[in-house]
Amino acid sequence: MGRLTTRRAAAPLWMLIPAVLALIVALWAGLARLGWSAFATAPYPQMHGPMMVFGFLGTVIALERAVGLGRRWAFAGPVLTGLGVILLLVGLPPIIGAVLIFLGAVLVTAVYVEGLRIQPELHMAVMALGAVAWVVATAVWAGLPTDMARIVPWMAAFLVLTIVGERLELARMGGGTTRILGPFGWALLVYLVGTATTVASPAVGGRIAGVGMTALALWMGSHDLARRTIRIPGLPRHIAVALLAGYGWLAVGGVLWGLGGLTGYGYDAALHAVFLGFVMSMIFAHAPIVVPGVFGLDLPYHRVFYGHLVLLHVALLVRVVGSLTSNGRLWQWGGMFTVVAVILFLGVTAGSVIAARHRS
Amino acid sequence: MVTEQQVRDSLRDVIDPEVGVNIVDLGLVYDIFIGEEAVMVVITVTTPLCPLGSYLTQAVEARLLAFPEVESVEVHTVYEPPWNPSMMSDEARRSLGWVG
Repeated sequence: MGRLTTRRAAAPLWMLIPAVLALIVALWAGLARLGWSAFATAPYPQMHGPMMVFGFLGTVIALERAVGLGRRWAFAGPVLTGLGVILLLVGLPPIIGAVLIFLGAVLVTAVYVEGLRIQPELHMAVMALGAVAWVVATAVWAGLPTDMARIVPWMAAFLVLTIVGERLELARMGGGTTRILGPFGWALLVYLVGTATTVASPAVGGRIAGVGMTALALWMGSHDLARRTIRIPGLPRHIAVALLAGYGWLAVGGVLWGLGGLTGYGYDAALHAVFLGFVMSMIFAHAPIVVPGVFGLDLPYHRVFYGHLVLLHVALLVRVVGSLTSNGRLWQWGGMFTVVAVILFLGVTAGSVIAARHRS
Repeated sequence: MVTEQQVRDSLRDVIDPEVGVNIVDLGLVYDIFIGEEAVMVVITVTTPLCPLGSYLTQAVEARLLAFPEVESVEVHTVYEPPWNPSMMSDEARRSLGWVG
């Protein structure tokens, strides 16, 4: 039959250290940007977005893909992004760290190329497009580190396409068919055209991308396997709740992008609806799968996991309402509690892993 | 030594955590080979970049080593033939909401 055989291994836990450092720096910078004076001494306030997306999420996704492919060379991706984070934090010229993270993104793209060779299917191509968006984002960031309006659409595309691709893959288990010429394909096309247009005009491109993002959210929300697995108690239901709530936020983010085009009114709400409401919810949901899958550590599901998930969504709602109504206190407190939700998530996850090790 | 059926039945305890369905009913177990004291299981994952592969490998090993007569377990992950939904059992389809 000519079977390709791969022996799989977990990633060493130290590879996660730069990602966690990046997350902490990003949260600290986020609190400083929210105007909390106690956190005003954040060492890298301008690094909030890049540390969160490239440093934390980028390294975690690169690790997931490396473990998934199971080839040694694929681990160069998370090593490069992690090294990039460290070099940014020790104060070397930022271009050095930025270039390393860029190279890490290129490596992850190469992992997807290998994935496409093994399984040339739509979901893999969508995830590969996400990695390409990451490469573009880091290239723009290395060249124009302060022009976030030009970087943000590519950061979002990296994460949106990665997650949508993953979910498309699972949708097959629910009997759904995804045709590139159907509504999904049109939504994807509009989103890609909008993202690409931001190179020429962030305002116009952001609006088009917002329309595509809303359409993608509606399609995913009505086709995702989560609509079925929400009936299965335990972890499947927990993941499904987090995902469906995330699609709600993706739709909200898409509408806000469409209305504001990532300029001026609603900018903060538009960004965080996507990055916190959609992406972070997905991270919370999948930690009980990613931690055992990537690091070989037990993380048994417990309903206490709903605590940080609910806090994230409620706090984000407060923040978005505060942002859209120009109520600074609501915006600040909502932002503070989204940070608390992420720290709670880290604490509960680490505590659950340690407790499981003691039990075994 | 254990039988293939015993191995297959025991692998129904290995659950895909995302969907709550076991790997046998999902069609992820391709082959089972029984030796003198060793068992080799050939599994697949639904996509080659799935990080669950490592987790499933460990879960299969742990489950089969629970048989006192099994000395060693080898788990191989393959991508050929590619997994497709027709490999799922009727029960798995029903639990994931397939109609008809």
